[in-house]
Amino acid sequence: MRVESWVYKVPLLLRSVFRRKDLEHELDEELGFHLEQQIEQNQARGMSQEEARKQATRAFGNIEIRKEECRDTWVVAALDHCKRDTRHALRTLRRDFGFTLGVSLLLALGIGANVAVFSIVNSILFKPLPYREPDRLVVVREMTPERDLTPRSVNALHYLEWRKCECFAEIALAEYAQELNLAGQGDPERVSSLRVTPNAFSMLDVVAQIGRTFVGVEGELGNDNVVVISDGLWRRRFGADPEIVGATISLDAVPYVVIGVLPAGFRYHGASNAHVDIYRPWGPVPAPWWTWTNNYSYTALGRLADGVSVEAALDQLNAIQATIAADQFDVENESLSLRAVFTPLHDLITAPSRAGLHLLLAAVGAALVVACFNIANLTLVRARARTREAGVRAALGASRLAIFRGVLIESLVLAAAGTATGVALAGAALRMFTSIAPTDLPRIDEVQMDWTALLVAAVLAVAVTVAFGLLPALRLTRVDPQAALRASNRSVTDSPHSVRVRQALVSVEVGLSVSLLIVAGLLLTSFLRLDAVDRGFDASNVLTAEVGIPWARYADDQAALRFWVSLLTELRDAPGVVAAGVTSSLPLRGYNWGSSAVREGENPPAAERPSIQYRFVSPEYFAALGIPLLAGRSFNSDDYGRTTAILSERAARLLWPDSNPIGRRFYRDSPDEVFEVVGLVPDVHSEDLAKDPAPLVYAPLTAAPVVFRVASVVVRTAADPSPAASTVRNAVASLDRELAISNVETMRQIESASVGDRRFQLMLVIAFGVSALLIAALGTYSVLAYAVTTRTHELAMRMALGARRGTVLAMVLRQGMRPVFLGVGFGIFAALAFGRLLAGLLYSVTPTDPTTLISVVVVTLTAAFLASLLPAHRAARTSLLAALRYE
Amino acid sequence: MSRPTTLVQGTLDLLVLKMLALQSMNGWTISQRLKHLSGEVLQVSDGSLYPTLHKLEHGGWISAEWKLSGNNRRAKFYSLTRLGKKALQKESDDWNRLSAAITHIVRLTEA
Repeated sequence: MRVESWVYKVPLLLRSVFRRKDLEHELDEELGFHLEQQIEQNQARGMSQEEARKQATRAFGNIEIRKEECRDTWVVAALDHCKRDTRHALRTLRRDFGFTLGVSLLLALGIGANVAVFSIVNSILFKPLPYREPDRLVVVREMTPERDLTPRSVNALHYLEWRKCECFAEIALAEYAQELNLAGQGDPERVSSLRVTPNAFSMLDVVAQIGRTFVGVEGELGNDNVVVISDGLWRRRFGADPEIVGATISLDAVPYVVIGVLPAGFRYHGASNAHVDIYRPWGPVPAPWWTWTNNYSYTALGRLADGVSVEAALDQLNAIQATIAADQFDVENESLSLRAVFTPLHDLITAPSRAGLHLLLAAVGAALVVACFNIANLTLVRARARTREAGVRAALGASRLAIFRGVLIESLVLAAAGTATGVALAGAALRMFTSIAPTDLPRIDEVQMDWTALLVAAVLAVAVTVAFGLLPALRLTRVDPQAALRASNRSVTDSPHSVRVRQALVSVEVGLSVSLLIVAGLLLTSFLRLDAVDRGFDASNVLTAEVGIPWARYADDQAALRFWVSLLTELRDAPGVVAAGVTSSLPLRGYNWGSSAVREGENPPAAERPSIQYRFVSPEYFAALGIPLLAGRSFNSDDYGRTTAILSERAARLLWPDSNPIGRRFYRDSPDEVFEVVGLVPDVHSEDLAKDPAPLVYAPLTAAPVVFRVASVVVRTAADPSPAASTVRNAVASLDRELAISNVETMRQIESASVGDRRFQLMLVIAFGVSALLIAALGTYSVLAYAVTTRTHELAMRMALGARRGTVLAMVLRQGMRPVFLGVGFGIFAALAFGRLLAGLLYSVTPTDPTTLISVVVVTLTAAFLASLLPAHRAARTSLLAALRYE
Repeated sequence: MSRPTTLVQGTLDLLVLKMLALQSMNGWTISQRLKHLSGEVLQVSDGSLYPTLHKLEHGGWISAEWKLSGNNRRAKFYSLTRLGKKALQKESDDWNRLSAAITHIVRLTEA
């Protein structure tokens, strides 16, 4: 029955919406027809035409009211009312622009922050990894509990034993990712490559989008010249050409056949976080280096066998570990044991960021609650001011439903505006987050706007706005028009209790914003001080790039050295280049080549030898990087083949605290390998600007155990260093057409990247701090505005009795600022109490830094003062006449 | 009570449905027919008929069609839908029960 009625209703509804004019026209015509007929009838009864028309019209009643009555019965009537109410809502909201702006801003902030953060947390922490049954995947690591504090990576020989364990359905091994020169089909480039056992893809249940992944025999020598490439590389370099499968590419001068292209978005989470473009098969081929018993440099990822619990699997694997330890550990290590450690893959990936993200989630959740409180307050102020309007409307015959609908629609319009702004804000925040987030944040490339979160936040926002819009509306609809028209604001006063609650809320908001701003200020100060730290080198006009030469064609050290020397000669002759050098590792990059240094003639036990970092460099490296020579001489080409050394100041102090190091001698590992100190240079930050520089020994390229095949080129230019990239690229290509350069960065960019984590934290805290300040200011405003509205009558009386405007202004300001001062106190107290937790994040600034504290207090008080000024000003302008008019 | 011609609330719907069950007609004709059939007892104000007609139309009980009237002018003709027929059945049953009950009571008091 009901359904059937829609057969008639729907066409009518569609017509009323899309052919409204027709409908109106028909209404005119229908009523007109009736009148005409009546007039004709009247005339037929003998009336004059004029009389006939008059009688007919009188009998019919007011035609416009009749039409309105008809329209009210139309299916479309509800829609009409909504449209009218929306127009009315928009008009009133425009009139109350401050209120509209405040509520939309609060909603936008609350929704935006929550959606953004929830999207991030959900993508990184909650979403399962994109593999089949990801919770059965475990990362296996090893440790010797008597010696190791944390688990280490895996030994490949041990892995071969683990493959026999029935606890795994499958277990795969991966090397660390490395960069290789990809040549053929266009310019050569250096791409990231990872070697994995052939079973890695089948274990994850990943199927190639074109071609296939590895099969078992491809881990064997002779079958292993095959690669699987990423979707990214396929599109970028090969133009998404499906013919790539079966084609041969050259990697470090070795030919490989491409057998497949992986699906878009695939990442082998089992290994390092680096983006990998080329996967090569790994197998136990007869090469000596991977068999080293102390080579723990692999990562192992296993899928647990069906029906085997994690504990049972670990027990089985540890039984195997025990036999390995018995077989392999030498006599000296006999008492040591060897254990396996399981970590669920998902936990391992997300562990470093979990605490931070949870904190973030809690923080935005709290911000949303506070924003809702403020919205409630603002809405109450407004409802109070509109009691009279509702009274007038009721008196003019508006139904309760109509008033109720009006308020409801107004709330919805507000919620819609807030949600839309919030979504835009969330989108912008997400884009900013992913662009400034440190690249080592896991799964950052999987972060995307979460529509569920958006829906939840939007529903919440609508609920809050509507709820706080409706509570007063319900009261309004119960308003007795007569009482409302008498409009006695004074008849309703708030209980002191609710006033105190509101003021406490302001205190909490201010306190929160003060403590956040203090943290932001401290981080900012640290950041600025860090920026001013003496790095020990001159970063202006320096370009760096990584170059790697393939072992396949530069098998002996002399060939490798010849390459580096020719490259530098080539570069030095290039226009615009002032100096060019090569180093095994750049400053601030943190790649370590640590060893020790012992004064010649001494032989302390291993534990007492000082740990010192080694850098193998070309002679002009110091000039290129602008590291001044403090004493002695720099390297020259005669040093190749000799074991000479230049020490950093710290290294020199470590070895010869009291005397001139020049001309002294020390050895690295064995007493046969003696270095002679020829020069002294200042300390250079090798890892983190915030950490003390490590003691460094610079030695000629030839002094390394093998001449490095991968090194960084450092070029100092006369002007802007960026164009030198092509100079380096051309120089490399002129020596070997199959070589490319990678990690092309100016030294300034490296500096900037080295503080990337700090910049990220700083941005987040500043964003939160500023939002909190905004919320606190709005809170101060709304509470005070509410108070002033309820006190209009009292204030008017005071002024009538002779209070000066200034006195009233000061009184209201005092009332507004009281909770603010309390909040500032809370905030400072919290910042001081928890300041110690920040110590690790700060650099050369104490958590009690007075400059920061004072600036934050000034900023907060100014904001709160401005927020209070508006209602105070309004209070001081209260006119007695206006206040008493409605008595 | 003093004006017996006042239409009992809601009965206009029933009357209109009944009229249209006999034949499809336009608003003017319905108003004339109502006056005539009730022997001028039922005074439906001319204008108030139309909101009722529109309500019934938008509720799906009657449907409208523009046709030429007797004097060759375009007029909106209403006719009963299937839904309207059912509604009429129900409404008239209700009315019969109600009026029978009232008649019964009225007779009682007079007896």
